[in-house]
Amino acid sequence: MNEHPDAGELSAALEEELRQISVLAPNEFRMRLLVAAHCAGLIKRDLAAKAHEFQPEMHGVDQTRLVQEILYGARDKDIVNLRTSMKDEVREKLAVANPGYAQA
Amino acid sequence: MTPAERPDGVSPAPTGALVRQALIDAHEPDPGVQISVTPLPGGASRDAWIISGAAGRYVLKRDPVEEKTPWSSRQREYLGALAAYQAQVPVARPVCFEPAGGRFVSAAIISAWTDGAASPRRILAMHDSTKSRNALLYDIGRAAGRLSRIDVAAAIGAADANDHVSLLGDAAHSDGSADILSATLAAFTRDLLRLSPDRPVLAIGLRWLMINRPPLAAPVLVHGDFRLGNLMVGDNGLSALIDWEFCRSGDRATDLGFFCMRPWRFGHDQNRAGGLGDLATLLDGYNATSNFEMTPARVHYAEVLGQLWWGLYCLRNSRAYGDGEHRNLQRLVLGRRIAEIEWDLLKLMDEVH
Repeated sequence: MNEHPDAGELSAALEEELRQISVLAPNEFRMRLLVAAHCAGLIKRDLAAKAHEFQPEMHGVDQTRLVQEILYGARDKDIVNLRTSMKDEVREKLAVANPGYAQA
Repeated sequence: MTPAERPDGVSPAPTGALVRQALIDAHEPDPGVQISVTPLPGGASRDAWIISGAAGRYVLKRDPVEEKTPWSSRQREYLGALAAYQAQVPVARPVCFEPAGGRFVSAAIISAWTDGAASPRRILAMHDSTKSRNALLYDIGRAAGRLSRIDVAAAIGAADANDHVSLLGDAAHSDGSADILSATLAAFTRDLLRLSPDRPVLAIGLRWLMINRPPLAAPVLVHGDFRLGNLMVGDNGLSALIDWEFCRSGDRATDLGFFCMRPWRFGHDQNRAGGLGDLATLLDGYNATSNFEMTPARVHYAEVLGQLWWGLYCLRNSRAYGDGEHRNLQRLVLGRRIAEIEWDLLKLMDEVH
């Protein structure tokens, strides 16, 4: 599908529009408009990153099972390595959710 | 008409006449018939208005009328703030509590107005020197220390008999359970498995808390949302600790750890204590008024605990939108902050091996 503006362009334009309106809005609505603009920005970055969607299995490991193993102590011996390996995944998610947060 | 049915999604304000009667019944000076009720922007989870009358200003905070099961208790909030006020913790003077089904429909509290700034960025801008920031930080520590001396069962125990509110991590309520951490970690485990059983980083954080528990200490009254955004700061320093929505029985480092969390440093990440300064200054103030010698290690533990609480709170807000509990976009999008929380958790756990 080659519709223009595409979803990424529309969400970017929507974010900009909402931020502009927020400056003119009464106090009680300004914050709500900024939150809406923030959401439009998230959608824009999600689309650009092809959306970091939930994956029940990452690197061949079932995440729900992994959580159970961690909570009940079965992964205590390699928990430091596990933490290290999680950092890259979280950094990727942060690049969409809050760019720059991991660099600060 | 409920807020969800209104075109602007805003709860209708209480009438001036009802507010006037509530103030008179609470033995406040008669504010007269010319009362203005103005929305107070800022809070996402409760509705709030500024009340202005002939006798002064107040703040009225109310559960959203469309919310069938509020997540926190206004009665508990009122009692916690009252106990703190009586213990000379800087607090906006609590005036009255109105139960659900009463004159304001849903549960509400009224507090006296306090002058000062509650915006973290304004507070940080007002205190632009190290000396000024340290003085404020020391005062904040002193307030936390005074708070920790309050008998939690006497303070909010009365609220719990009829308090069916299920707060995250608040399994022990205020029954004086000595092992408040065990109760909290058990509640966190249940919440994690219910809200997000597929997030290993949160599970690692929880496991870290289980393994690295500090020595047992008697629980105290904690504010539960102790951060720069809930402090009123005036020309003479700290004027009030506001928004006691999450006050509860907790480990005595809970508030100090929460205060140090990165989201509440507002870009001043090098200043661990609320973006204002170092932890040592905060602890100097705390240890000057508390009856317990607080250690940095215990605060570090509480910071991890606070991150977990904050993460579960964000997930719960997001889930509640899907479940039809609220229609608030700001609360929905909290779920997308989870990556920040996971990142902060991983960094915090790296600090101590």
